[in-house]
Amino acid sequence: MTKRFLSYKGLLLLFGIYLVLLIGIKSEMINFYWEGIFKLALINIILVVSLNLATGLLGQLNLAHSAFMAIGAYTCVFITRNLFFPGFINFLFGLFLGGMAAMIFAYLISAPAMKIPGNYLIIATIAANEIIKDLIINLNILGGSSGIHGINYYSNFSFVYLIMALIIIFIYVIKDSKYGRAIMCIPQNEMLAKSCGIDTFHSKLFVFSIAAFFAGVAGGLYAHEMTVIEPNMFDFSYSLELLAMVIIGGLGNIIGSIVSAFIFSLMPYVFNIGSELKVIIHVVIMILVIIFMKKSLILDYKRFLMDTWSDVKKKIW
Amino acid sequence: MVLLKLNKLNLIFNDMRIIRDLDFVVEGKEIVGLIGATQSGKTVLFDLISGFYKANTGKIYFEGDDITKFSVEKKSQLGIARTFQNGSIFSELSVKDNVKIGFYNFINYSLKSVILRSKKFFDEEKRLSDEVYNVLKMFGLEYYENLLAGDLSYGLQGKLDIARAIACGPKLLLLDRPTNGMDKNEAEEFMDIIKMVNKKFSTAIVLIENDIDLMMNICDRVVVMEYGTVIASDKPVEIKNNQALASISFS
Repeated sequence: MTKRFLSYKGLLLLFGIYLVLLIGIKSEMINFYWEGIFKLALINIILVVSLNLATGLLGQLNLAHSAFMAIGAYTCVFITRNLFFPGFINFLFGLFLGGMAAMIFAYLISAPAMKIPGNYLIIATIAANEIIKDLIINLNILGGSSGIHGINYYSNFSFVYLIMALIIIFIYVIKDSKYGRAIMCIPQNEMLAKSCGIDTFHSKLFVFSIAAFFAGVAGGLYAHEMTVIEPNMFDFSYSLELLAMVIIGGLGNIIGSIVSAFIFSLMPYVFNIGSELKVIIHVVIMILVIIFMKKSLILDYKRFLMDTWSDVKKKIW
Repeated sequence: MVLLKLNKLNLIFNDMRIIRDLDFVVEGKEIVGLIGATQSGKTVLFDLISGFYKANTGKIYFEGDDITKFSVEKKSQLGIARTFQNGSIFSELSVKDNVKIGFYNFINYSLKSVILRSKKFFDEEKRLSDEVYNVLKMFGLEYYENLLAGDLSYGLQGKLDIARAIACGPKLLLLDRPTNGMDKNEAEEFMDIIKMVNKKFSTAIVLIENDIDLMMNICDRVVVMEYGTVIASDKPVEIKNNQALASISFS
């Protein structure tokens, strides 16, 4: 029996969570401060899910996701300010063009790097991240190191949630098709994939660019939520943080990514911990995940507990 | 009818001639065994035919067309499927999905119909699942369809490998040491499967194998390679009884 549209359960869940959060916000049970944090969590979900598309499903380690986000954010702000339509329509154009700019940039750095066999893409992405940051700092037109202030506030909760939902649905829909299967088989055995008639080079390029497009869109949303952007917001450690969330959620596991992004975005605010401690916690959890399990902390917790329990039993007896 | 013709093929790596003036012909629907000492260039020959290497000189003709410069994907679309020596399955995907990837060239829907979830997408996926089931059933793999391919035994992995290759709809199937890691009984059973595939799909098969006894029953012809070129091509019995070839240690 073919599934008609994702699974109804999944869509219902997506809509249910939206309703709960919306009612919370409207009834002011969730105050303005927490609403902002939830929105940042939603934006993080977009970033982590799209990074999982490139890194988990396609197997291309990408450490420039925050740079793609920065490109999206700056492009979006620039377009929104300078286009002649009324405000929100400018913003929509800005989001789209910001995504496109990130996509084109991702294409330009990945096309040569993917031609070379081996993991050169990682080095290229690390370099790209630093280049973009330095470029923004040194360009006065982009506000230099003090960034851009006084950006209009457009990213309301429903809009951010809508974009996030669309992106998740898009990834799920693709994953179910022949394109998704092609993407998933490439990291396992690229030569075999080629001999099945899959154009691996262009598939990789396409998916990597699409992931960057989503990061660019997330950047645009982020800028119009924070109303301030600075180059330091998009530094290398942010890319690492996103990667940690992907690994904790499970490589190739979209639901795991969503849950881990949500938890780890809220965690610093719930427990009131500073950014240095946050990085340490991320890294420690990530190392634990890599040591103790192959897949995902969040969705494979049963197996995790059972394995640990059997280990303990062995040691005791 | 000549399906594949290699004409004076040469491949040079670091001033070393890996393949030397190689001429090789595969007729339609025949099973050719390829045998030779290690480093004699059998797998390299497969890589040349399927497009992973490009020959320095010489031509490759497939169904009369020159395909020397074609990419791997293009050759696969023309109908050249192959397997690899050290297991050619996607071990992290389910058995079903492995075969589905084999059908990649035959699924006709666009990205647009995937995103819009049009009727065409569902029809094609339905047709695909039916075809995948048929292929799996033919190889006795239908009970394992939801298992991860990496969890199967070597014998079943070998079957899955061939099932995937058959799903590519090949006119020419290149099998590189398919019985690797199987015991004698499994290997003999596997040879029957190869024979069945050849009969049922009228696919020409080229088979690299190190055991000439295995090939006796199923091959129409055995080709012996040494130092990157073909030194003999004859019926299996003739090759086995040829005193001049007895000195070559096959592996």
